Amino acid sequence: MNLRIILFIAFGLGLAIQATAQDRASINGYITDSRTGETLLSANIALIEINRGTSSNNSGYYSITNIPPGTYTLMATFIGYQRFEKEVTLEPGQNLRLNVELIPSGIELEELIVESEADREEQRNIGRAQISTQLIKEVPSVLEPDVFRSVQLLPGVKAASDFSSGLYVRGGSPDQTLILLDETTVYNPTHFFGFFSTFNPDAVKDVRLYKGGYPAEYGGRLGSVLSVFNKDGNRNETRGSVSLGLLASRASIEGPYSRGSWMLAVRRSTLEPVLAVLRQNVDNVPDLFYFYDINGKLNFDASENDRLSLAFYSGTDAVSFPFLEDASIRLDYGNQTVSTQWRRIISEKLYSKLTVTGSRYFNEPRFSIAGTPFERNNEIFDFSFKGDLEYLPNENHSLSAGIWSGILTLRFQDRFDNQTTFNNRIQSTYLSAYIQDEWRPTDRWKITTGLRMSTFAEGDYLRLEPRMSVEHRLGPDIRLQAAYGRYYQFLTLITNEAFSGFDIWLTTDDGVPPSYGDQFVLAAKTTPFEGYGFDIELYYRTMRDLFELDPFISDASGLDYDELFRFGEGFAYGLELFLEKQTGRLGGFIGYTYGITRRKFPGFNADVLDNTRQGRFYPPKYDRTHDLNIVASYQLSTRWSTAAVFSYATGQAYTEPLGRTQFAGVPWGSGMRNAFTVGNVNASRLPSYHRLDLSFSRKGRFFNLGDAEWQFQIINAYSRRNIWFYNYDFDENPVERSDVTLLPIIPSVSYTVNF
Amino acid sequence: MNRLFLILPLLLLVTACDIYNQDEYEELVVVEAYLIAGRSLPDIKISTTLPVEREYSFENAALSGANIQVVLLDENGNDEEVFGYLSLTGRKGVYRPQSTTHTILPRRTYRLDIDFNNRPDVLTAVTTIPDQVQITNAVRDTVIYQSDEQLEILLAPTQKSQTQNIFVFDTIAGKVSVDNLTPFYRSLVVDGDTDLSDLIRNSSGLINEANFNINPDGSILLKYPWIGVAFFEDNQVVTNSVDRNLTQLIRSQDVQLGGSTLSPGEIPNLVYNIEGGIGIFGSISSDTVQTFFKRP
Repeated sequence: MNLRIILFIAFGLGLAIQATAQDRASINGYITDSRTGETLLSANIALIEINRGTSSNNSGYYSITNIPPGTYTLMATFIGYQRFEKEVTLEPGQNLRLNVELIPSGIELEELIVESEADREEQRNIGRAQISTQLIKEVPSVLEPDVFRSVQLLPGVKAASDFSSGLYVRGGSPDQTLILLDETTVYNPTHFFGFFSTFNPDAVKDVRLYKGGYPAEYGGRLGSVLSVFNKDGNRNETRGSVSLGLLASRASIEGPYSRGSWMLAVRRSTLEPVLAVLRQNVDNVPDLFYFYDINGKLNFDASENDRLSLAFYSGTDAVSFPFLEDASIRLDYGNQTVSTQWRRIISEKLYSKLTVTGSRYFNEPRFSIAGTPFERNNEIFDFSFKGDLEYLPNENHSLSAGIWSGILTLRFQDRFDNQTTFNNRIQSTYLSAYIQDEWRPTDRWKITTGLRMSTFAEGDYLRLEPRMSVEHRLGPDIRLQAAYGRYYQFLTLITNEAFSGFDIWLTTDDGVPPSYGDQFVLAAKTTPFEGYGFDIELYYRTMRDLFELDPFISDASGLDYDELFRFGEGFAYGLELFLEKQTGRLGGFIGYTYGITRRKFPGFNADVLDNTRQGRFYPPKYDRTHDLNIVASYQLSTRWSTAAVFSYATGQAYTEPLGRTQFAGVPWGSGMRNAFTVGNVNASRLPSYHRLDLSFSRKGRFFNLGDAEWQFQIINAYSRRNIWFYNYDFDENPVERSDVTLLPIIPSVSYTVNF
Repeated sequence: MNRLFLILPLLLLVTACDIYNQDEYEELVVVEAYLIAGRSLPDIKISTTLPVEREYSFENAALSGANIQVVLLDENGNDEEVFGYLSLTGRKGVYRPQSTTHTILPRRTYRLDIDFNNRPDVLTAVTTIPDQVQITNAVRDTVIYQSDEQLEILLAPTQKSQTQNIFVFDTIAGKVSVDNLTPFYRSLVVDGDTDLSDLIRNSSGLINEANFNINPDGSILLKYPWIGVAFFEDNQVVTNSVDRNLTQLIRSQDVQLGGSTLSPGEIPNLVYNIEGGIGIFGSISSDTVQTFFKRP
């Protein structure tokens, strides 16, 4: 296998080694924010006279090669920044290092702020969406600004409920989205048992979502990739911010030092005083509840061509409460990640990135009821090494290749009454390698082809994943795109929509093959009017060999590993529309999704009298035919701004009980046992979901020490009692149905000081 | 190409007409029978399901006119002995065996056959009786509640009728009163909405054999968890070994009530293992010991 991998990589690099004319010049460097020195990812840069351009990569680096000598106007643009223009003269054979600093809008107001289709081309690649940190902080959010809640507003992305920040992308379950923080896998990125994500908006620089048809650079998940990049830290001055909220408070500080920059951001729940008051009057209030997270980054510029960084994240949730007499529960869960990266400009044509990552997820619920303890311990350790190369042999090709290898250890142990009842430890090495070529045969065409190879030692699986996308520019305002990809997934998440604190990951193994699926995407990206963007995407995807914990297994003791799972299949298709207003005092977007997703598992959703138990396709709960989000923000004055989010979605699927019976003679226990009979699983729909959230912000000063902002929010402004699910009470005869509702109206306030 | 992009969304919408609809209530025949090793043939109850919006009582759902027989099968699956059933006078839907002499045999397979004089349904089911459970140690007369010395039970080796034995432990209280409840169960009754009567027989739920220490000779030593003790003082502790049908029925019923990884509102049918109808034709074997849980 090793020989095969070496050949694979050698093939990729071999393609890249081509002779080029020595009299051509090149220009390269980093594109940064002039105020903070933060690198800007996917910023556009071009030489106007010869219409040659590119965009900065995930490290903020750009390179334009094979330029005929001469004098040109170098232009760089990025959303929210002023256009950068500079005359450059390139001599034959010259390699000009030019770092570009873009000035944020609002600093020099008389300057024209350029926000055009060209600025967003990279962000609007097929299947891709980008969320700005400004939007995350601006849109109304329940208790805390949240990356995931903001992402859920995009077409194709759905939330399971008000209580879940899980990402259901294009009909996939949350485990089908690879979540990366500074290129490190995060296994349970939630706080407050799933209510919001662990990513602290103060620390986040860039959030990009590949909803589908994602490139060969990424792998390991059937559906999508969410990549979060933390800030590098301010390279010009020491700055900080403090934000006080009802649920949690945040503080961050960042600054330069002689060889680079640093950043530290902390967030901690501040509910303890509220709980202390509640404890006086209300039963079953937790005697312990907190969560925190810490993000840090240190950048070291070793030389002009070498940049090193060390990033870490640590977050924990802990809750403990007694209930009734002689019973208690304690739950601790969290993640820790660390990554170190070396980015090197090897030449004007070759850029490399080496990354070492470590990720730990732990989940430790403990119950004690009537003197009998129950304990569970689920831990994941994932240590990996990544190497990526980007090579620009000529103006038509951009090659990239890389490997990602690591050791994944999963431990899952159950103890009951001080005795181990289930103990499973899986340790597997994994290795993936990819090669990708972006070919621009003409100005109108862009063809990206790639191949990814993935291996997983546990079960001895090797899989190949071809990827391809084609883009054709019909005119200055319209681009047509198509993509295909095959994707494999070696992990599955055991989760409960209502509560992510008990999430467990399991892997493939002998008898448990990896899931796989194909994705087909068609898209049109248009600019109907100046300052507006209108995108259409169509997708169809398959899901095969889906493996998930069999819900009918309540006791895993004594079962072989493959007996824990049920194996199924699924598909999803849909249409996404996205209209965005990019300029002016009124900004925002309208996102609409028409989506269908189905699953099938043997024996599940079978006809009740069908003893062969042939499973039938059914919609999972999160299947929502229509989904609409309208996000708008308006700058009322220099001090006041407002934002609103309106969401509408088809009611979620649920199963309507049709008949009932009773078992009175079960030879143990005291009570009657009731049972429903149902027809098609999830064939009924809850009432439609809709909600309006409002936010008002007022900017000011904090005792001349810094800028300050009050934010007032009203979640669910007209207090729509959206339904989460129906509860059936068998104690009543006939059975009574009651609504379990989602969030009522919730006002909140926060105060932030930037210094 | 422009036209293609206009046509494709329309095509998708047209072809996407959702044919997955909510179906209607269907009346099903329900059978309920539990065979217990070492005991005589049980009564069998036959009824139908009722629409969920109707008030339920067995009397309203009971079915008359059933022809029932239970057949003891030999090791080749052929009929060895047939036991007829008759409708019990005055109790519609309850059928009693004509034989009072036959004792249910452990490790043997029985088949249930039902048809009706007045409806077309035909039901069949089989169960294999678990091997006889035997508690072989001398259980202590008195155990101090939540002390270090838990009640220990030693189960004799058994032959498996499924991949592994599945057990349920049942604690049957001798003296039922609120004052006699252990603290946790007392708060369930006093502070919660649990009826005292629901705790008279306090059961453990289904437990796989692999949860316990299995000795080299195949016997199983288990320490009885304190959570099983709802009342102080005299209690009978029953160890039941449960067949596959009953195991699947109870586990699937727990799932239907929401105790699994399924999303809230995603309700599956129970697993019945009956052809032509629903319900349970299950079996157990059991053994009982007596002890006294003393207040600490």
